[in-house]
Amino acid sequence: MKRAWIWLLSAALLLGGCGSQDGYTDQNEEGGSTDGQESMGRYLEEDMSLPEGGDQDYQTAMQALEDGSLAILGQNSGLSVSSDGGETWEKRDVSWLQEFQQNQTYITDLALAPSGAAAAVYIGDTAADDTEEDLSYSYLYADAEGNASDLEIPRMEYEIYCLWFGTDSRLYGCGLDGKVYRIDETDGSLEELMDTGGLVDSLGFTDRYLIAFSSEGVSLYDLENGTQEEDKVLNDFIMDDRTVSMGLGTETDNYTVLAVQGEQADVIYVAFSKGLYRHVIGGAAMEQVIDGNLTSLGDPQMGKGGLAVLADDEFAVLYPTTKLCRYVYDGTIPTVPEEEIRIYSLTEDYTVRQAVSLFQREHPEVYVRYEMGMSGSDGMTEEDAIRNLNTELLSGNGPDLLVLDGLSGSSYRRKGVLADVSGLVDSMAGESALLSNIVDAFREDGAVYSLPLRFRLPMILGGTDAVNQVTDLKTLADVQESLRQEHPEGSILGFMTEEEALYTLGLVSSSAWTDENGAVDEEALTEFLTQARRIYQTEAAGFSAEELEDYVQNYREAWSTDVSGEGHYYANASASALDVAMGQQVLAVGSVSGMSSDFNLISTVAGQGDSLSYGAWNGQVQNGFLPVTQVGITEGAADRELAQEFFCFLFSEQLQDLELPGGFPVNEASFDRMAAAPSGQEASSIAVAGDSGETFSLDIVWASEEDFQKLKEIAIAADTSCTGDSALEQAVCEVGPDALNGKMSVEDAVGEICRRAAIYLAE
Amino acid sequence: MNRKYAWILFLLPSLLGVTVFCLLPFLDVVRRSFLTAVTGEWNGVGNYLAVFQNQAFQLAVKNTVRFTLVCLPLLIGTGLFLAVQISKFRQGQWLKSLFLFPMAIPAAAVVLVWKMVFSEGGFLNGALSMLHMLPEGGGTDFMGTGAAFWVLVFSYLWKNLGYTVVLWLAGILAVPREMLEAARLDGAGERQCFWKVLFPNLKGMLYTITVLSFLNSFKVFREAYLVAGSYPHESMYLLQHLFNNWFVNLDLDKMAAAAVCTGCVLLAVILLLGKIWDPDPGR
Repeated sequence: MKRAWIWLLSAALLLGGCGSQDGYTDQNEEGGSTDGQESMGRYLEEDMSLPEGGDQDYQTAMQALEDGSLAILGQNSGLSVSSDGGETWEKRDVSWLQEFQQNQTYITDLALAPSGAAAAVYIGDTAADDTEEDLSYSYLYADAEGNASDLEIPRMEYEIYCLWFGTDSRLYGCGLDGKVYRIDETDGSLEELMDTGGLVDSLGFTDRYLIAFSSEGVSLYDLENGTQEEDKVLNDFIMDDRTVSMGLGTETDNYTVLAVQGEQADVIYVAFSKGLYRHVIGGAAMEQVIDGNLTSLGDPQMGKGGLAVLADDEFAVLYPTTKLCRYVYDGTIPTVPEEEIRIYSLTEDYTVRQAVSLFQREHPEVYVRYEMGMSGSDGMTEEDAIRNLNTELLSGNGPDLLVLDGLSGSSYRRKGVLADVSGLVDSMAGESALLSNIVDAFREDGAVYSLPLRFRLPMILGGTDAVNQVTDLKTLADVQESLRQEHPEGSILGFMTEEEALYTLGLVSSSAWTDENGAVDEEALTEFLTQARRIYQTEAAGFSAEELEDYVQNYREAWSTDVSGEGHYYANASASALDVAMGQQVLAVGSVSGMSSDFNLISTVAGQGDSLSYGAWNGQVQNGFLPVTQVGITEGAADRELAQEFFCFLFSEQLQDLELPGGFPVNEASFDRMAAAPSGQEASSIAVAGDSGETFSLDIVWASEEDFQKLKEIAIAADTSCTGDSALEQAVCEVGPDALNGKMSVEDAVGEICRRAAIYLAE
Repeated sequence: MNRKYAWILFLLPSLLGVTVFCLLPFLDVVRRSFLTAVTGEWNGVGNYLAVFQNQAFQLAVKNTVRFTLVCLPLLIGTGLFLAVQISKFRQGQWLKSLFLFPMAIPAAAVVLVWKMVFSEGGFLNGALSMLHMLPEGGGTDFMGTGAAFWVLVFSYLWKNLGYTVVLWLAGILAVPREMLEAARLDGAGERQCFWKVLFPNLKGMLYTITVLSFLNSFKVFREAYLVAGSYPHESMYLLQHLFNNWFVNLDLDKMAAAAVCTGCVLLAVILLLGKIWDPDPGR
């Protein structure tokens, strides 16, 4: 008997270590079948219509009212109330909002209370002069009956910039310094409740607690006891999902976290990109109610503007200007879709995240699992992540699709990890047809193992003669030297540091540094460093030693804070074009990744004078392009057919039509559709402060048909991928600066680079 | 009957562990060394041929052998010398604890110190500069030159010397005092006492220390990797660097073939050492 107990205890101890950690319960983990029985039931997303004019509401607030109806207050659509959970909407008159619309007042925030009271933060109105006073925030409060009055909140160094209502319809505000205040609706007086220490992204309320989601994490305030509390589980769970600070520095507002009260005063529902979770304040668990991956919650392009709990345990989430979604529980479908696709990338890829979300919504019967080697929150190094991936691949448990950015695509191809997708690619016709020059650049003996979802184009902008004369690195150096004669001082190309010169020139050269066998082409490397040295030294000749030193110091500080590191390598042509327009440099070279983000600026600057022109930029590589988000299907894909379907979806117009930050679409029809400006994006303007403090502004218009045709010509002529050997590029970046500034001869630098790369290449 | 086979019960747990975690995986490695990495196709001795023709492998083998040949005699000799000196002191126990100190320092801290000492702006360059011993043109990044090998040797000696001294001391203290005193009474000097009495009695310990030091020499990769990454200066590029990089590049076929070769060499060396130490085990 004793022996039996010992065995039992030992087994319990052993198995105890295998449990789920941290108390986070995941629907997907629970969803695995036990004893052959599949777990059933999950929330499904249903699209509902927005109130009329809601698609133009850049500022909105959604609230479940005390009478059980749902209300949306939008700066364009006004107040709309629905008593059937968002099926139909009834408009209510809001006189103060109509007045704002008439005066074209710029509203920066709106808040709606359960009682029906509303509040707004706004900045002056366009009728008034643009004085400094008019640019500060003003506030308005309207009670449940719609009686509006200005809220005289005291002026502070850090103004209150957003307002929220608690469950008791009392008003709260957040200052730019991270402090949260209770605001007296009658006289605007403030009572400081807590300091979050960061910029507050959103507030959530229960009858007892105020929860602030800020760039520093989650802060809690007990409204009953008047004390600041901590909820480590909630804070860790939310912050674990942050690769960047909440609400700051993101490309979209997808990182917004919304919280509303659940069935009790200490229960909250939290909605963010991971999904919708239930949490008891102070409790140890975060219960997943809705998986973000299976719904629009995980879509990086869908900002979240409001969350409400409806009757029958249903939820409503407002995605401003896009749609309103209701989440309804269906107990007859599996908790996790039976079919699964796994896609892996080393770091999070925005385009893939977008694709996963879109595909998931179209195929609710399939679970698309997006795995990242380096999530940014676990301290995983690149090498460790690759080792883990390789272990999975070798054990036959690898992903179905691989994003090869940062991975050794050629190695995976040689080892037989990647499947030939040429049949799939060749079958893409009509609206699905891809730019043949891009596809052919990845074709090897008829086979295609991976393809980029987007691509960037190296371009040059400057005087027409100069642009026409530049055909390679040598002619670029020649043109620059001749321009230096005309401009003895100041910048020509904008390369103030050796690193900038190497990175930018390497864009259109690095793939020429190795021969067909993968060995270093010493001649090409010598030519690169020789011309890069000429270019850097010609550039430096326009500045004094002090100016260069100051710039280098500022440059290093700027890049030391660059999180993505991408800016290092993909030197941006449009940013340089702006400097040309401002007269701060003469020529602009770099990569162009999109219409509204880059090319429109280049075509606008070129259109400012007859003497300016732009074109494809060739270095040691002629007609090159920069592939972005290269994807391949693995040979060991568990469901090859499903993986192929997802692969085709990645290149479909549905995804390719979107303006994504990575680069231009490879789908030809999607590329052609960029010729016409999307509604509301025909023109924009940019204003920057010059070196001497003066403001420079430029009205950017969408590229003309003629300009677009020129872009298309450059795009279809680009037939060589500018992907170099990463180890060799690293060696050039480490040794190259000494060759450029003259501390080392070019020959010695080439020798040192070859020596450093020798082991890697020999392996 | 039970008593006769009781040794099996003692042996079984460790044998089971070694079989499951070492022998069976190694058999799988042997199998993989004849197959392609991912597709698992039969490749004959192709992987072995590729390994022997690989320049990186040749460099790694050369460096590893060189490292072992330099470090082992240095460590064993210095350790023995220090142990003999310490054995003469009464406060030997205190010194023994002091020698074990390097083993208690985490590798990450050691690496940090190495970087502070041997980098271009490090303490060593600072000291050389103060002594006006720096060559013209400023300091040297010792980890980026041929000196990196000697930094690694120093690191290995520093880390393992204490342990070796303790082992030698245990051996020395186990030699009966009477034997040494008798030798001295017979007119033997210090040198004769050492070579004719003490050293022959340390033969068993020498075997243990040599095998342990040999195996420990492979552990120096941890410091080398943390200091200089996957691609250090060529003088300190060891077999472990190559294995690590092959795994990252999914060259598991070459890695398996190289591992089998390395395993065979290690086994041969250990058997050889055993043979040298005990030429007639049946005696």
